[in-house]
Amino acid sequence: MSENQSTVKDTIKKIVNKDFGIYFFTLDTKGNPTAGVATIYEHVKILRELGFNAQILHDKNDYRLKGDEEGMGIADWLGEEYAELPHISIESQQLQVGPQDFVIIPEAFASIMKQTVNFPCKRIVFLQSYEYIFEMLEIGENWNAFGINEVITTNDNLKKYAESVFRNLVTEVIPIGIPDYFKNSEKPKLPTVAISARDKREILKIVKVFFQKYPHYRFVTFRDMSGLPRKEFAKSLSESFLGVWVDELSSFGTFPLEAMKSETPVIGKIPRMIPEWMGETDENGGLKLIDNGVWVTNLNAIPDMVATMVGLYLEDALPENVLNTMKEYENKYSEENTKQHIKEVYNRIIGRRLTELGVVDAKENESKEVDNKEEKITKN
Amino acid sequence: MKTDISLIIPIHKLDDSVSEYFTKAIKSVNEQKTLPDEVLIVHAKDKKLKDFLNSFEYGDILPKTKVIENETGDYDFQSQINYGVEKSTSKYFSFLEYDDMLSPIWFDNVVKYKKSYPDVGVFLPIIFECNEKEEFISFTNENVWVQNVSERMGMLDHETLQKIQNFNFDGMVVNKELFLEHGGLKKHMKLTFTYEFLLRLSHLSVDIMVIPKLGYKHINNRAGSLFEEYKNTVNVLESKFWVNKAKKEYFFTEDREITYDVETT
Repeated sequence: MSENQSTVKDTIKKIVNKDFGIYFFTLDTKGNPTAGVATIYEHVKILRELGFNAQILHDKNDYRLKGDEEGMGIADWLGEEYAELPHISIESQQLQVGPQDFVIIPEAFASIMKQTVNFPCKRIVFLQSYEYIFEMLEIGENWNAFGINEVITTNDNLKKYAESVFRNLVTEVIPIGIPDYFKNSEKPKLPTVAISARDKREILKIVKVFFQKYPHYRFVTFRDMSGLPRKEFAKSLSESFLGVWVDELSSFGTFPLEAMKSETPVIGKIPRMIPEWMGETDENGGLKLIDNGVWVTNLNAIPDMVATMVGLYLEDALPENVLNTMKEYENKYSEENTKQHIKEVYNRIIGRRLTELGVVDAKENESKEVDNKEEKITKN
Repeated sequence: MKTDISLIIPIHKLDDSVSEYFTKAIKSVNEQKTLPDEVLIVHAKDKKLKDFLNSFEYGDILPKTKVIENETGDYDFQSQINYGVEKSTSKYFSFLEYDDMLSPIWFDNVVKYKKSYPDVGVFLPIIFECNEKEEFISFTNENVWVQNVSERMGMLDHETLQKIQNFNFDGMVVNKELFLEHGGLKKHMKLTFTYEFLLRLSHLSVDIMVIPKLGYKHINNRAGSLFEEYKNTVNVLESKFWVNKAKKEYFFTEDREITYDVETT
């Protein structure tokens, strides 16, 4: 047996025995909660529960795990159980990857894709936002050029978009799961509006216009939801009678889904990429929206819509159709569903890796769990 | 559904406008999403008024309605309410002025909030202040939900009351036992009996909560109303006197006799 064959056999054995790492490159948000980072941590946590050696990979040693005087860490905003997941930094130079390992790189980090081009491991893009795909790519550059042809994303819209932009991608979808700590408040909802906007200036504008036009509603409180620890965020959202969501560049939008699960109706600006749960554009370009929220095309209409909803809240007359349709979405994006998809998708990814290594037939791999493969390898 | 709430409607005289307003008031009770357990109509000793009330069409609330003559001979607003409370049989009571209206969701919300906030002794509604055409003028009681007004948002505390006087207890739902224990309404407090009552209860650490819902429609300064009368007969000095008096009298549970005397300080 040649040395090369022996290495391949060794690699395969390691994969089959789950003796490999799945490293998720993660941005240090310095204590600023982001849905994207939370999703990465969720994948790591679930993969570990499934018996895989998944780890968070970050750039510098001073990654903010615990809060300090400068702000929150992962433990504070996401939870202690997430901070306790294994973390490894590139700076520490302890990361050693072999052909059996996987490195998952968020779409924004084209520079990492370039830097790791000679790594022997399998590299996969984690696409959560179309907005950042080209942030660090030069004109004419693409993921294939860096040896990457597999993508994990969170919804079909992003899958379609990525496949329309890049050729020869294998794209897997793992839907977002909304945690069960998003639930309706046990007490009646407060005259508070939970507001989430990518651009903080939009929040100020909405609030200022609202109070200027409707001074008699000065008893309404607006709460900027950015920067809150996840569980506090969930509590605050459930207590609020209304949510406002402005994220023009959103690729999915977890805020409205979290609000629906909390039984808090949302007024939202329709983003450029219409989320699957919000509706779709028909063949004639017409919008077909689902009335699981109040969706507006005009940002300037939001203060007036908020005022209308305040009036309805005061009379217990929030629109029945919205409240009822919201309920249909309460459990559509469950953690259980995400967990099932993670299990299936990563098994397929591992199966394809084995195929790349020339071991087994791809079609067989895609339909069978990695745990069943040892027998085939022995035959080879 | 049992609400544990008795609704008191005091009425002290019969004039040309009573029928129209009283009809609207009773209609608003009939339209409640959740009805009170009993409705007590407390009236002054007046045959015409009694006949009017006894022959009135009460609609669905008729089986719950009792028309009661106030036997004390004191027909001021405070005494009428105190009398109604004594005669009520529920754990909580509320009142509706015969010329105002309840919003249809009021008692339904009180039931929900009582369950969520069992320690609260007094629930106040946000009041929709309107003119005789029922056109909106302003809200009352809503300001405890404004940030940094009271210590606990939504709760009317003593410190807030010391700074702000314009709260209105129309439509409030009160724990009867607590009301009686702390002396009820004071007939000798002219003009500021509402204010004095709220000061007294908050001083005695009773939780007073404003339910952030429209509970009561109050017709402002209706010709012939008690506050219209005050507006025409009470000058600025006397107003100040009654406000200051309220700030002193709330220490006392009993209704002490007070007569207006111009303060020079």
